[in-house]
Amino acid sequence: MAAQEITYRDALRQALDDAMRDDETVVVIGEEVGRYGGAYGVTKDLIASYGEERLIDTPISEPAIIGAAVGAAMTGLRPVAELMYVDFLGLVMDQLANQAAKIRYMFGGQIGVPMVVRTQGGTGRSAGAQHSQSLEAWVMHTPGLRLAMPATAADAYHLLRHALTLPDPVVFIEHKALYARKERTDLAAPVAPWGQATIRRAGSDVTLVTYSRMVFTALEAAAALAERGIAAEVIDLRTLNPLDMATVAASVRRTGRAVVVTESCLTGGVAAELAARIGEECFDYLEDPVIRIAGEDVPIPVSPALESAAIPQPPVIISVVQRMLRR
Amino acid sequence: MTETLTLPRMGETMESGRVVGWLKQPGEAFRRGETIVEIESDKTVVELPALADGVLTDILAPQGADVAVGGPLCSFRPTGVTAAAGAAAMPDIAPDTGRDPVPAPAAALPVLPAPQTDERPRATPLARRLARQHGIALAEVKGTGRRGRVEASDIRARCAPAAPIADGLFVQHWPASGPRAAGRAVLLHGFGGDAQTWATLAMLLAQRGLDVIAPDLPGHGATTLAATSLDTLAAPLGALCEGPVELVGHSLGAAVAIALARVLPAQIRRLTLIAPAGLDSAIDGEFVAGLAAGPTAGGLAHLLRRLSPRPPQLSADQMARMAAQLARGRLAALVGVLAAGGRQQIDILPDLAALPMPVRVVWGTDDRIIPWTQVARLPARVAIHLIAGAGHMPHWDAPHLIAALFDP
Repeated sequence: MAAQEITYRDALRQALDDAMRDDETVVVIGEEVGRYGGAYGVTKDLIASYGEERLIDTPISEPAIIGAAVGAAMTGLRPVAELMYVDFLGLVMDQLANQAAKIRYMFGGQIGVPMVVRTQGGTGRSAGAQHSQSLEAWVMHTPGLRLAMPATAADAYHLLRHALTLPDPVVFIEHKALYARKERTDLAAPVAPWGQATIRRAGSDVTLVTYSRMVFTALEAAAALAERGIAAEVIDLRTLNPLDMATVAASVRRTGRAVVVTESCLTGGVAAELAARIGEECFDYLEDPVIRIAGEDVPIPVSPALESAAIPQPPVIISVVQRMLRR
Repeated sequence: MTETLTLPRMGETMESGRVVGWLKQPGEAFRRGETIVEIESDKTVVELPALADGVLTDILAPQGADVAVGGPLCSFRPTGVTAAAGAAAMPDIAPDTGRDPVPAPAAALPVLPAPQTDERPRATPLARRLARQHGIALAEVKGTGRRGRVEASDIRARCAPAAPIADGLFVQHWPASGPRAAGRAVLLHGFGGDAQTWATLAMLLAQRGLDVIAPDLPGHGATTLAATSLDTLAAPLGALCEGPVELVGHSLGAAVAIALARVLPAQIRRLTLIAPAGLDSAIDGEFVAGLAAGPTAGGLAHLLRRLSPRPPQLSADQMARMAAQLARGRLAALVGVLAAGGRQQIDILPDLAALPMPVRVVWGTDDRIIPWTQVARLPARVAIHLIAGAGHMPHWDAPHLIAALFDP
């Protein structure tokens, strides 16, 4: 298959289509995933191919969706449960953290929960404080849950396909502002393996560590920094569990400086975890403290101007890196 | 002055407690940590410990009494020093988890005067590591970074690369940095080592005003000359001894130093031999053969553990580089010179007896390569300095002690 232009949304849809075709135990369950085609259109028209037994529309009850998926996974299906907004994570945290994440352990390895929770988060659509959060830290803080956060359409496809082969629960957080992003790619071409970070731009002066939509923010900053003679390396983590510290540490040891960029808010977040690990693993190689550039510790505003001010933008990254390098 | 002991909240839902019994009576003294009274909550019986030393004066809630949280249990007179800071007040105890309660921590912490500011030099972690590796004192480096911070580039500028001064002989140089000029010191490393093994001691000696140079001996490190005997080791070094110099030799390097001193007696002010080879037959032959065999990085790390009670802090990179160096097999010809069949082959005693300059020997009492007890074979005129707890590399384990031997 040759390279073609494809959106993040269509790459996800293609992944579901291919997985459902290849594996008849894959079922999709969630609010308006069937006849309507998903709040963001990811499951559009799949019901025509696979019917309503495999695209299950549910009442508005997130605990029921995730709970049913956990049970289905334990009894032989491979459900893809859609949580319309990651902001609803609180409603399903018991099903996820106390059940899905623990069952393999509690049953001595005799049974697993091979399910994928597809959800989406982040800002960019003026969706308001209750529909714009980045809550990956809640998931990352729970041992037993895998966590993928693709930035590119190719990763959206391949990470979702891979997630649908894993024996344990995966939380798959898409970004609402990326669905319409087009990319020229060949979905048949291989990408880096699951659990391995990808260097999106090579550089020798500073390492920018990030994931999901912030990859593009960091790349934009890196391009502007290059014009000022600063070579920033951009690492896309792709999955937060597993977390590929080897790639990150190797890069930071080369550059001596690290900046972690996340859309999720600063305090107690993924950026803090990454900064701590870099500090521990690369201390003797650091020329500067590891800096976190993260979302403000505030509810996300609806106003587009305030919404974008609440999360990292390229100018902030540029100025932090310039100050670091005194250039 | 008396204070009142009140009933703390010992569980999230606890509103009151019943006094089960008093373990201290009025007039009785107690020490911090001793149980004073037992209280029954709705879930469990808890022993209340004293949080400070004191004397119980009055029981305000007798056995069997129900007391509300915060209500008085007894009055007491504090006697400990911490009491002055209000140590007696009982903080809430951790929520009742159904397990034995953990005694609450002591109350008031002492307020200490701010320590004198004896600030560490401001330096980045990378600069610190490089400084450590190259034996450079951070305090002496002028930082060019933000707010005078020492950065990696400042250190790199300080460590001049080893430069060849004669055909194929590489020499590392630590220029004198102290207030007074004390002449030159030449340091000769041991079997399988290189000039870099001297880094820390060299830096300390440079601070004492010595202009320190250390070659990579023939057959070692960056020096391209081959070595097949003590004489081939010593021959190219004469040019370094523009003296008179302080000549320091470690292990095999000590035997080389004696060979040098024999031919250039006028150039050597004093001879310092650290764990010298050539006094008696005993030696860890496995170590010598192991180094010469070109071990893997892992094998090398294992061997190096024999050198020092505190193994050298070499990074994986350094270890791999050193292993690659040894893998070149250049030491094979020297193994027989130093040791054969696990026995030393060199005898330095005849030459040693004939040397005119002062000679001293330094040895670590935990040397696992050559036993320090060989000092018994030294002539009486040789001074002996034993360093307790140091291994075969006392200049790693106790560099300051050795540097102090060079004080005027």
